[in-house]
Amino acid sequence: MVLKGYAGRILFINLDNKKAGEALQYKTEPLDEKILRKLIGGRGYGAYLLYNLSGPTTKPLDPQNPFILSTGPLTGTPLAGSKFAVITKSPLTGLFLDSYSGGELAGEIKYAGYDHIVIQGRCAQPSYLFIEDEKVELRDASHIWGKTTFDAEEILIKEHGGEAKILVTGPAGEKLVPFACVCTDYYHQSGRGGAGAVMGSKNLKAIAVKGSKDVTVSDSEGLKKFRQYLQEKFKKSQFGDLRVKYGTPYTTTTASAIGVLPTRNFQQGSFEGIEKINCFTIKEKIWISDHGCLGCQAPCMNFVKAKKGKIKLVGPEYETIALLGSNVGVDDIERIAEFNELCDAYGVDTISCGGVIAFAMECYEKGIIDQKMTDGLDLRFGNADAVVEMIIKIAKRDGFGNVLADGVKKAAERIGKESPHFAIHVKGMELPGYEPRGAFAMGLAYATATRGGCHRRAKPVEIPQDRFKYDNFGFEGNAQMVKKLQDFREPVHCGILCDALLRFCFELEMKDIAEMYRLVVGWEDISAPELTQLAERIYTLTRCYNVREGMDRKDDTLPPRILHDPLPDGPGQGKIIGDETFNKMLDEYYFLRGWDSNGIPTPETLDRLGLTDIVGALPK
Amino acid sequence: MGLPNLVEGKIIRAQTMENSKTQVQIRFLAFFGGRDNWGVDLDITTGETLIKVFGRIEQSIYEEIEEKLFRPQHPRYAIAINGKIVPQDQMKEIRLWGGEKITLMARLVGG
Repeated sequence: MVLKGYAGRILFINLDNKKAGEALQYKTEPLDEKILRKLIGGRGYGAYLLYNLSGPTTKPLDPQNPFILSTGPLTGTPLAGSKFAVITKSPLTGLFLDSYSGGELAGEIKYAGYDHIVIQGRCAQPSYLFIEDEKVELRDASHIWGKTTFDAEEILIKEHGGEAKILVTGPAGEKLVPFACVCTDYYHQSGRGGAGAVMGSKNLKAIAVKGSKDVTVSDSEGLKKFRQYLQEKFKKSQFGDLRVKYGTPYTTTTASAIGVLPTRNFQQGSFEGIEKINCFTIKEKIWISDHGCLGCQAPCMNFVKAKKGKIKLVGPEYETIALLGSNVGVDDIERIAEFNELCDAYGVDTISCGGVIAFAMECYEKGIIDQKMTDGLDLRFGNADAVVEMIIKIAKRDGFGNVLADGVKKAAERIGKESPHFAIHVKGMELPGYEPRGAFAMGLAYATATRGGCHRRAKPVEIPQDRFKYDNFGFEGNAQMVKKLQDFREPVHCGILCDALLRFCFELEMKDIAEMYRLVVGWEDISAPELTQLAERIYTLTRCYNVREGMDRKDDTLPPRILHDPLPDGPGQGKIIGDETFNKMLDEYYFLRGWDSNGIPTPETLDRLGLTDIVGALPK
Repeated sequence: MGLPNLVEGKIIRAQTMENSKTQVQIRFLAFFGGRDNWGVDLDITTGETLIKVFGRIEQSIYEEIEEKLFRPQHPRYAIAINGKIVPQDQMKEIRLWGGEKITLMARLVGG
């Protein structure tokens, strides 16, 4: 491998009905250098692997659904906030899933000598993988099966020492809850889309990785200077200091004030209890210290007191405060931290879990369900004890928890009556913490995110308003903005670095990302325009994956409440997105992406992006 | 118009008391004067404009407010009154009737 930054190899493991101690089938292959410059790594290369290793007949919980741990050439270098991605077919949406996490595992995968680890098959019994450089072993997990993520990780760290970095799924993953997450370093989760259930379906409780190699870079002196440049950018950044001091919870106050804070299952965009759950209350009541990811120059997470756990907790992040706070009507930050701890321990995504509980609460308050159905729970908004019970019931698929455990889309199908109207999801994925009626472009971002209702591909509410001309309560300019924001993240997610850090703390632009690749990989002529085209290529590749699964324009939509009902409060009060505005945004977005009016990438677009050979023929 | 934070009845009652003395609370939830999460209570006369009330804060802070909120065409900071954002075109001239909680915050939205 000539290129720097990369480990140069992919590890393929077939669990193949093996038991612990039996010899595993595994092989390594070199990265395909012909496509590295086209897809780089991380989400790009991972999408390529998933595209080739699964198809429409592969069900998410089939043994053959690949579970891919992807890193990129920037991972493990001294740049901002290394991350890894889990790439697989989502049990929640049945579509492409990429879910990111910080912590130290990202670097460890590279130090073990791999850019990607691809796992297929299913173990014959509960097991975990131990990977130490060239050694790949399947080990017995009967002693950690059924344990919480915290306990399982603690046990494995005792067995392997702190140098091993662990990825673990919780009881929810074992029970195949389609929004089960995977956890690493206790505090970091790849939360969205159900990667934990894919691990559970493989009888794979954990993956322990230990490496002894280095990551080399092309220009180490240049990289040192670039880090100084980042520090300068940070000093000049208007919001970097707030981000580090308070982390994502700073958003809570602003989100409520601008009317985008999901409240009581997206019935409102502002919360009357905001001061009890904002970042200042966190600092006052539960904050212990700051915490950051590997290589991060601006650590933005908070260690807080966990109420019942043995260990302290990182969080709650903004999304958790929104979905398990205001959205379930709870205005007590200590209880929200408790919900957070439970979700992390049982291994469920706090966003989806909050979304589905809020949905059930609205059903309950509207009389669609009653206490007979909820196992006696009084599921009123604001009942924190009921939230605690429901989190555990969902994770264990116990009683009414089993109705909610398959996500809000399926829960609404089962409960029926008018409940699908307020089942808040896109493509089956529960919406995160930004109410689109307070910022219409956010609706387009959700509708066009390739993994479903997701805020991490484009977040129009975040942008400095002087960068784009757009209409907050109309369609003008929104498609262009959403596409640009999505495109910016692609090369970051190929790297893989923290997109939030690069945007909020350093306020970087595409040319800065190109410079990182030049310094690390040695691509002397890489440029911002090339990365913009790469972004379009990868976004369209993931779209092609979904199109091959049968997805088209009909799926790029919003929940009926969000699309057709007015918001009762905040700056968006009385505003309706409506079909006409939404379709105008979508038409313009498809045009900008080079997709036809049904949302299918055209042959000309595939050709222009160099994807024709990769994706083959798409359904018409 | 311009007072989304007050119910109509309260506005009417307050307007009948125009020019009487009352108080408002101002809180800085972003860095102003080198520190954040601090506040002042100010005496006002009912019906005064926000800009006039801000003029009563110490000069250096007032200048920072000018610079961060009123001068940019698209400010990256915002003012909320009783938890609801004030539209940019109303920021200077919005009138206060007493008891308002005014917060100055960063438009930092991102989890």
